[in-house]
Parts: sequence; C-alpha cells; structure tokens
Amino acid sequence: MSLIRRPTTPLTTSELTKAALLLGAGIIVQGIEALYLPSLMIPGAKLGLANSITMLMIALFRWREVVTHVALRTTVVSLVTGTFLSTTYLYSLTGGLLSAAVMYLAHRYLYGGLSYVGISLLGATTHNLTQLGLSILVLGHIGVVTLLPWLLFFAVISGTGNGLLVNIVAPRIADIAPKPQVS
Amino acid sequence: MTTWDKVLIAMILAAFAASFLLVRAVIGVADGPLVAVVKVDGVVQERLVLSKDVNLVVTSPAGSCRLTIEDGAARIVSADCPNNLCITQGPIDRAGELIVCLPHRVVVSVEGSLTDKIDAVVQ
Repeated sequence: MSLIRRPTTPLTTSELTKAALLLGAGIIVQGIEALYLPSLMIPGAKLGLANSITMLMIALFRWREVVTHVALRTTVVSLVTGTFLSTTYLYSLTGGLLSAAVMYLAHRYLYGGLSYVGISLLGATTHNLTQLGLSILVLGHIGVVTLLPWLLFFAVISGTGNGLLVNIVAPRIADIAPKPQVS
Repeated sequence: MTTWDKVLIAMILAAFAASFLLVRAVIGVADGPLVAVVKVDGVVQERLVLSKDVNLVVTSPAGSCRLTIEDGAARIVSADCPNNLCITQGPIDRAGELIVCLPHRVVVSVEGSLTDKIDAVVQ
C-alpha cells in the first residue's frame, strides 16, 4: 500500500467500515464491562478491555479516527449506563482521550522498543492517573490519593493483559487493514 | 513483550510500592486518633479519644443521655428522650459517622481520619 494520504483525506468506504466495526466492538466490550462487571474492591479498577480496541484503532488509523473512536465510544456507553454528562462521563471521556493521546504518541515514536504491552501500560497508567487527578479536583478532597497505589497496581495488571492480547491480534488485523498513511 | 516493556512494568510496580509506602506513612501522620466530638446545641462539649473506654452522661436543657465508648466505638446506651432513636442508631467508629438526638439537640460525630468512606465511584 503506497497510498500517500494527508491527515484530512476522507476515509475510503472499506476503512470507514473497519472503523465502524471497531467502534461497535469497543462499545460492546466497554458496555458489558460497565453493566455486568461492577467495580472490584477499588473504585476505578477494571479490566479496560476497550483499551485494546483503542490500540487496534491506533495501529490501523490516524489520530483523527482514534479521537473520534474514543469520544463516540465513551458517549454511547454513557448513554447505555445512564451516566451521560455526569461526572462519571467526564472521568471516562478525559481519561479515555488522554490515554489515547499518550498511546498514539507512544505507538508513533516508541513502537519497536515497546511492544503493545508497553503502549498499553502507558495508556492504562495515564487513564487511571487522569481519573485520580480529576476526582481530587471534583471532590476537592485530597484523601482520594490513598487509592493511587491500587490504581497503579491495577494499571499494571490490565495494561499487561490488554497489551498481550493486542500483540497477538494486531499483526493479524494489519494484513487485512493497512494503515492509512500520513504524508 | 520486549525488554523495555518489562522495564516499564518494573517502573510502574516500583511506583506502586513507593506510593503505597508513602500513603501509609502520610495516613499514619495525618490520621491521628479518631475522636468522638459531642455537641450540644451546636456547641462542642467533649472531645473523646475513641481508643479509650469512657462512660459519661451528656446533659442538655431537654434532658440527658449516657454515652459510652467501648472497643473503639461510641454509642448512646440510654436516654430519657421519648423515642430513643439515638440508641437505635447504634455504635459509630468511622470518621464522618454521626449519632443525632433531636429532642436533646445532641450530635455525636467521629472525626480525625483522612480515609473517609467512598463517596464516589468511577467507571
């Protein structure tokens, strides 16, 4: 695929379809997690399986599509769980966008040195730290910091798990869906 | 998984350990002993450390009730109010918990901990 495309070039129909499929997968995974796997002992600790879908988006698409993916996914899931425009939604959206940004940059500049495990770890840590920082701002109570160690701990577990998963899936998906190139 | 992945895992785990110890240390300092604060009509009457067993009578213009501290928990054991709701509210032992007696205008609250109960859940 030697298509040279500028970041603003519209997606082809097949790319759009793949993006839509991944968005659907992301919504389902995150929705099921939110509805049927209530938070473990620690608020905020979760599998974050949707993060692996975000990484596939990063592997296959440009940043515009990735941002759209994350924003749409969190919004649709918040409508499903009934948290749209609540603080929960705010946490989810900012955490998702920031971690996606970190993972996008890590994928672009560090991939090779890091595998998807490392990228996923960076994303998970960013996500959890963002939410922690936000909750301190929102609650105006520094006591939430006591959760920090556990959030880091769960970031390692879910980050590694998702990364290993994407390490397996990404190469296979890349054959079917070449990344639109940025000139 | 590459070497740098493992380095990253080790770094985050180190951060976990460090923050764990740090939080422990900070809580130990900021926590202090839990204190039961007894207010009558909004005025602080007593500040009692929960770790020490106490038995005292709190008097207010409307009557009196007996407060005991036992096994690190404060509770009202008897009162001369009409409905005895303060007794049924049971023992309190965590920061932020309250016993309220409306007829006597007595409020007993536990104060002094950094770790409140969870007040928000993030998804």
